[in-house]
Amino acid sequence: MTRLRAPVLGLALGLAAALGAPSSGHAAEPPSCEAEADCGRLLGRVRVAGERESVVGARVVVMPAAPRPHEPGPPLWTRGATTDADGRFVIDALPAGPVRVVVLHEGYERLEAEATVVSAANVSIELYVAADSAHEYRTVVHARPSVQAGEARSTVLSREEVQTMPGSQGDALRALQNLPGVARPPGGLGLLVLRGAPPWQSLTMLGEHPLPRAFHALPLAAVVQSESLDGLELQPSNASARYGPLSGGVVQLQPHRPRSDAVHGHGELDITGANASVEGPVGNGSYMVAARRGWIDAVLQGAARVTNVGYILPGLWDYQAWLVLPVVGDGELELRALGAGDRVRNGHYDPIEHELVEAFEFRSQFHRFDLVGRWSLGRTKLMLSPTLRIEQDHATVTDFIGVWRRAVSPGWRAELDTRLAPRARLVVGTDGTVSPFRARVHEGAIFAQGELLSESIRRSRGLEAVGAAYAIVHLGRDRWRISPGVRAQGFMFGDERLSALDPRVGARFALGDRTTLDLGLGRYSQPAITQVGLTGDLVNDLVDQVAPTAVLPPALVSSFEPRVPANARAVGLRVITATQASASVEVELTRQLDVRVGAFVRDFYDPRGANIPVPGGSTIIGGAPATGLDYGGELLLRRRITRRLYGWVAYTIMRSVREGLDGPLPGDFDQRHNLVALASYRLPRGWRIGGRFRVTSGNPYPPVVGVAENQLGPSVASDPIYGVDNSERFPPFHQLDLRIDKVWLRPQSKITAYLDVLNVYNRQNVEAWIYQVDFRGRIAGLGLPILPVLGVRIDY
Amino acid sequence: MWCSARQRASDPAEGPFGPFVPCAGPPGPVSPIVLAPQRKAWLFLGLLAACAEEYRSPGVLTDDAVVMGISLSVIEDGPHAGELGPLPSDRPRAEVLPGDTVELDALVANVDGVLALDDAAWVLCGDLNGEGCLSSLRRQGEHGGGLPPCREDSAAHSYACLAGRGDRPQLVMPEVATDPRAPSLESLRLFARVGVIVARPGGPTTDECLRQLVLGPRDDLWGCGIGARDVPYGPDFRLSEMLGELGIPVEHEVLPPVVARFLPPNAALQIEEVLVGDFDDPRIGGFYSVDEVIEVAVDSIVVLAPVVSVRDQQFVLLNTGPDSWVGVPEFVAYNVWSDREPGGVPTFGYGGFVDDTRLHMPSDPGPMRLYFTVIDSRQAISWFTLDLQVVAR
Repeated sequence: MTRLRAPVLGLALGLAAALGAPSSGHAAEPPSCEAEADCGRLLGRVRVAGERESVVGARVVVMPAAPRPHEPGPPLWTRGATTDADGRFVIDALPAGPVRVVVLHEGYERLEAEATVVSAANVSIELYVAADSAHEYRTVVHARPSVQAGEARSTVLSREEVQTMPGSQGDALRALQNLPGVARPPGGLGLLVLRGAPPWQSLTMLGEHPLPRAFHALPLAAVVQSESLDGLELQPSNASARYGPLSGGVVQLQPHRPRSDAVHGHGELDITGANASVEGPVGNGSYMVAARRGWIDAVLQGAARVTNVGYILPGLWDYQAWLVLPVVGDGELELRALGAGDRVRNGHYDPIEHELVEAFEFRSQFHRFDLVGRWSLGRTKLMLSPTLRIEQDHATVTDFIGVWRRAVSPGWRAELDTRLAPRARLVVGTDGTVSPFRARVHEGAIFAQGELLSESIRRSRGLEAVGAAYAIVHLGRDRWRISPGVRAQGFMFGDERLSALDPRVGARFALGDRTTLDLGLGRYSQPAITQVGLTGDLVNDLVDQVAPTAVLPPALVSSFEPRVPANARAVGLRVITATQASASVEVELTRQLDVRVGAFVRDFYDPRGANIPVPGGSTIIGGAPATGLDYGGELLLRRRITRRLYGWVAYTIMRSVREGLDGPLPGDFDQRHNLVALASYRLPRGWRIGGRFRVTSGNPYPPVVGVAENQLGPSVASDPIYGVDNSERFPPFHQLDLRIDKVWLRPQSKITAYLDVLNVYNRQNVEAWIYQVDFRGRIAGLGLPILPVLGVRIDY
Repeated sequence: MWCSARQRASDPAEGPFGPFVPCAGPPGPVSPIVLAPQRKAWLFLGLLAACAEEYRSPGVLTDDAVVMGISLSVIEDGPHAGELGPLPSDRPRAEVLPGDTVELDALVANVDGVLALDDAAWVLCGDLNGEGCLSSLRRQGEHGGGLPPCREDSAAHSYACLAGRGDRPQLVMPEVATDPRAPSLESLRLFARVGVIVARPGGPTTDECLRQLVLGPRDDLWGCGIGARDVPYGPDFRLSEMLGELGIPVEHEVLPPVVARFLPPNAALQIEEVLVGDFDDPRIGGFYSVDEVIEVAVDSIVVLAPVVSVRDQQFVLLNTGPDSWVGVPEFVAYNVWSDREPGGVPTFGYGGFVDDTRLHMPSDPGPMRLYFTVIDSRQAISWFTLDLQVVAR
């Protein structure tokens, strides 16, 4: 029988003796066994409570059960051992009878247990020690930064930070929204807006390849669970030549490295859905499988039965499967499969037919399969990674509009990293994707007396491809590093072919023992296909059908755009380019407290980003250039996660300007001020409490400045007249979120209950304007009210 | 709650033109009065909180001027209008051809009544990218620096032009233009829309409204009544002949001119009488002149059916296949506005040749004025007002 106990003073003296520390008395060896039959053997294994990970190098001390803790004085005898690589220990020649076992290890709470030694027998015990969360040197799993020292500064979030951050519900990418340079997206949803760049201009990488999209369709959550990640890294601008095509920033998600010590896993349940994972050893390698199913749609559908009110019903699922295997030499092979799907419906429950009557449906899914091989050949490292991605989008508005797109896209990345000289390293690589796609647009718009009078089906198919080769040289060592690089890219759409050459450079200089200066400058390019989505027009039309008088932030709408050609005859390829520059100074104030101050600028050019109307009513699609300028400054005061506390204060001030045919206008994400203060503190007895306060400027939107009656056929519609685009703003946003976690540690498992309370003081933030049907008057569409989210999680 | 396809198929509010109409949505193909005040719960995009608020019924007038209808009547035939079928002298042709002289008229009202058009500005405009007249006005301002008066060749040079000022201006419709080197439908230029801008008393002037629409910036147009509609070009066979003369082939089936010339062109019908009844009590009701004040009971559901006289009932030929045509009575739809908030649910409008409009009367006695526009399937439009006196039961 094993029992955990709190440490006691009396025992400390005995232990000090046992460990050889100076003491007033010395414990003796146990009485020698007169016969082997009089003695027994104690063997066992020491593991981390809740994690079951082996504790290596722990000191295990055995002593007679008496004296009891309230009886001061050294033990009569002690005998000890140190755990091996598997956490196992063996202690021979122990007198039969009850004994106390004490386990000591740096970074863990002391464990005291009882056992009974049996003559001429082996007694086996399992000991579980709890990690000492208050210890100064406790282990924190950080993501492996992919950004080299000579490249522009990135920010890394650890797995623990992601999973305990208040207001982010454990979602990795929503956690990123608390960092400087990342805007609060409209509606509080999960879009990544990096330094003014719309989400589609930035890149979210998982491992070696980009994700087709970072968030689920509505976007309530990232498409990859945080359990499947070891951390993430944000580079809001000036990414290295390794990354592209993009004109914004990069988020690099680090796949979790599955544990190989034993089978572990977790299960989690809350009002929004359930998720689970399992990981463990397989052969010489390890594996992990994780899956999630959101059920907000089911909850709301139940509500629709009661209220007979139509709701937007978002359903989502995703999965991740990782396999890591050693291969010849010191090589390593990783196999990854991941996918995500969404089904967003709008409708109401028909009490007569007992079914959901749908008015709008959007379905989207992707699957990705990666193979990654890594080898070290002397001073050279080689990485090869083919991948295959399958995507399918489908959207319908009743029987009238339907769009569908499917693409099967093989891709690759190969990289060679070799040391040329003590102060020079060369990285060369290539990456790309080939995407043959098929699309269909169906319109059946005109009915008369119940019969379909006309419909049109437009089918298109084509080939999109991007390919790149890059080279980066890392120069310098301790005091200075500079990393010039170049990325040559080719883009193809149908018969059109374009290219871009993007030079980039990053540098880091030590300005003292605690101060570093980071600089970045580079050009960035990405392809865009005129008439293939991303403008928001198609989704805007769909939204107009569902909520015709709702005025949403334009950036929100455009982010859901399915990439379907609206007019197969008018498609065309163009290359969007951006020049990015950034600089930051980081000062290590104390061992755990850093401050970083930086500035950035992004000059954006789209050669055919604006349409030109011509007399007579037609329009030249993409006939005019559109330009933009994003610039601003950032401040990050961060307490790194070490002992009990982590947190930061992040402030961003910025301007985002777009210039098209109508002159300079605020960009969709011109969020001028963004302040986030966040802290999480670990309390004794498994409690953790955290809070996040955020205040931001309201996002711009096009105001309605009048109404025009528009007679079309027999009907008269009241159409809004919009003023200057993005010339008004939603009111400032502010919100406080609090989170409380309680952990119950069991030898084999860990149970966590959490309460994440969003919008604690119930601030009524305006996220949209909903107009009267004739647009003469409006009411506010409010964001989340106070919302407590209670969840339970079990790790084993 | 939003209507589904299944709902709409059986919904009496479904008009024959209706592709997709939210239950509480905009006027669409049926009467603007489609729903009484009700509370709506919104859960938009899954995250927006419910925001319960009283909605004003669509079609209930406020201080803002609403352009309910714009009509075009041919008062003098142009060069393309020869050999058209005959029309009664008091029923002017309502489908127009380039070169015709037309008179423009509009019904503009707010909660205080019909607005005078003495200072109204009338425009012809293109339909830029399907965005309607307003985009054309703006583009004309950017490229032309102002709004030129309409001339015979305006369509070739302008995005929009000024068709006239004041009450019932007369205008010679500009000619169609195309590229003579490569005539095609894509290069065809004509003014597809006609619009009117009327300032509300106490608001900005018509000139100020026009300035914002043409020259920008558009920052406050709340005092401006603005409306537009398609120019009802026709008859179809004559348009086809004109395109042929321009060298543009017509691909769709066209009624042979030898037949079409026997059919009179379209004219707007005139409503002089309405049938008024009580939805719950079929014994109540009768025919009333549109000039009378009609007493109705509070909280009653009143059935209103404009009476289309026999002389206004026209037939049109629908193409049902190669060289196959069938004659059907022309369809008529109604749009209704009110100067008072109607009562509670159920209230819905219903347009159609033999159909009626049902309105839930308010709970408080008092006068109530209804504004009806009547439009046929070839977009000829007319209007009348109906004065009700809501009385206690």
